[in-house]
Amino acid sequence: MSERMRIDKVSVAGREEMIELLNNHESERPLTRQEVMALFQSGNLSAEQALRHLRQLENRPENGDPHCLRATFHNPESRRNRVDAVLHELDNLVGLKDVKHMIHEIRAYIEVQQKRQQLGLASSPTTLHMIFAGAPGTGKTTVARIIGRLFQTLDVLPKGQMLEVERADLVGEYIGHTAQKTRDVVRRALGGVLFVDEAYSLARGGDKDFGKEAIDTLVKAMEDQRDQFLLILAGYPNEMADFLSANPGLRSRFPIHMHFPDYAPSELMAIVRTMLAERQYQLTLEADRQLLDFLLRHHGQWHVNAGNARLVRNMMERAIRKQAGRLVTRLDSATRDELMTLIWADWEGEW
Amino acid sequence: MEALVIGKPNVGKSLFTINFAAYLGAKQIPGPLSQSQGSLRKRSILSIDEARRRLVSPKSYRTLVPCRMEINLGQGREKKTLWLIDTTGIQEGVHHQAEIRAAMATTLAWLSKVDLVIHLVDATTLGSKRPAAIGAVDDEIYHYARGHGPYLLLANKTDKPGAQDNLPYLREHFAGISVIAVSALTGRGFREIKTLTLQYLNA
Ligand SMILES: Nc1nc2c(ncn2[C@@H]2O[C@H](COP(=O)(O)OP(=O)(O)OP(=O)(O)O)[C@@H](O)[C@H]2O)c(=O)[nH]1
Ligand SMILES: Nc1ncnc2c1ncn2[C@@H]1O[C@H](COP(=O)(O)OP(=O)(O)OP(=O)(O)O)[C@@H](O)[C@H]1O
Ligand SMILES: [Mg+2]
Ligand SMILES: [Mg+2]
Repeated sequence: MSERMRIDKVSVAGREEMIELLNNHESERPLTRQEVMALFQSGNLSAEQALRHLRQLENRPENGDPHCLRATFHNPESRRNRVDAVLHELDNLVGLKDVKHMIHEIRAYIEVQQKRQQLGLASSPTTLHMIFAGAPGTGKTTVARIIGRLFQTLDVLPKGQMLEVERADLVGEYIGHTAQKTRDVVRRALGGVLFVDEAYSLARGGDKDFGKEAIDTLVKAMEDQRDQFLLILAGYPNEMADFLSANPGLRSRFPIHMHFPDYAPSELMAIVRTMLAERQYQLTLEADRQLLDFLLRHHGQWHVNAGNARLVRNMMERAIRKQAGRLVTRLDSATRDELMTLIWADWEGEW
Repeated sequence: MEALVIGKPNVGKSLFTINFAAYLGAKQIPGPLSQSQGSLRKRSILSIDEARRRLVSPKSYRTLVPCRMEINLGQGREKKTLWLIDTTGIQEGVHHQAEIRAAMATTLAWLSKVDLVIHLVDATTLGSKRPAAIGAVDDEIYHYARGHGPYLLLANKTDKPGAQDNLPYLREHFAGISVIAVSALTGRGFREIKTLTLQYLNA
């Protein structure tokens, strides 16, 4: 009979590293298999989340598994399921009604174009470059990542990864350096989405500035590597509008414009509650009420940060640290419930 | 060929694995690991009856270490080995005991390595709050496995009252694949599973 089975060697990262991974993985890259297993074992991922991550890892065609190639390219049913799963994730985001609606339309448009192409009818291009206009923390990055995966499951992009860059990643220090840097960034984004945050900062320095060179290089790559990556330019609504009217040639290259409104206080509450639930924390009734009250009072007051999901996420992370400070001196007597609960005192303070 | 028996706690994975192994001709089942004696770990060997008594339990998380049963099928040059693997149940959410999380992780780690996934759900638990109730974990296993390779979804405990009525719902919920009605206790459905398993084995 056989030997006892052994689990994959998971490199069990330290707890700090793990939390770091959890908090940042959204904004960086997908988790690796080892990370999924380590996060699951340390209690930072639920079983169903772990399974979902593992499935997504398997579904990526570049790992060369013949099964998933079959699933990706030849099995319409599995494709429809995966498209639905991605859209489900989109629909689960709080608010963003118009953005969701538009993405559902894009999906329909792409599928119809593909069908037309199959039947030999004239079809329009499906690589739809996009403009995202919205304040920081209104979900632009989150939606861009979902779009990458959607376009991958729709077979528009082979990989669907997302690379988020800003001016400093594109612009170099001397003549010729910028074109090189930008080309390198495009190369890394091939097969997926290139997301340029605060895109207008590329046009700020006037004609002598290297930012202009970065724009030209991006435009050239859109021509040369047509259909091989999707470009999303993002930033504050007013600045984006100015930027596009100053560069009329650009506008026509971006058929899709999405507007990300500031979140209402009730939406921010819903976002906090989801983020807390994912991390297995809960608010006392008092804390829930006070936090909503705080968001209502400040709504429209932080000019740039109003409606900002990132702000509430930072607040939550601070509250989690404060709770830890509160409990650490009497850890032996702390109950499971206490470890899960954030009280209002954990949140209070300046923002 | 390796076949992984997977599902939520208490859906009957162990009883199914033992009885199906017996149905396929196994006479013995590896028992739990005995305490390490020096550095040597020994597995006891159980008869089918002993295995049913010791490895099956009405409580969740009876199985904490996967149990691999060797089954020899076919004869002569056609001879093939099937490994049936009984695993720890997977529960939604984060289990508070690290030991159980580690055991579940072993199951997850095996999922991508095996040739056949046999997913059990408890056909009597629809809408209940019991650990075996069909839930998000089942949905995820289904989504994972159907894109991955050979996959059988078994609705277990159909000998119990009411189970039969739940089958149409299950078939609708897990659309696109056939949900096979089985009973680990009575052996209902074993013939069909054997036929399918042999097909995969010979493919
Ligand atoms: N009536 C009936 N009872 C069953 C059937 N299959 C399993 N059971 C009972 O369900 C309970 C759980 O069975 P197990 O085989 O231990 O379940 P398991 O999925 O291995 O559970 P864990 O190892 O704890 O995850 C036991 O009391 C079994 O007798 C079945 O087909 N019919
Ligand atoms: N609609 C939403 N529902 C749930 N969570 C959200 C939603 N929007 C944003 N979040 C969460 O808020 C955080 C910030 O969102 P995101 O990074 O997408 O914002 P952003 O608009 O890209 O901000 P920035 O411009 O500062 O990069 C993320 O952790 C994200 O998961
Ligand atoms: Mg962002
Ligand atoms: Mg068991």
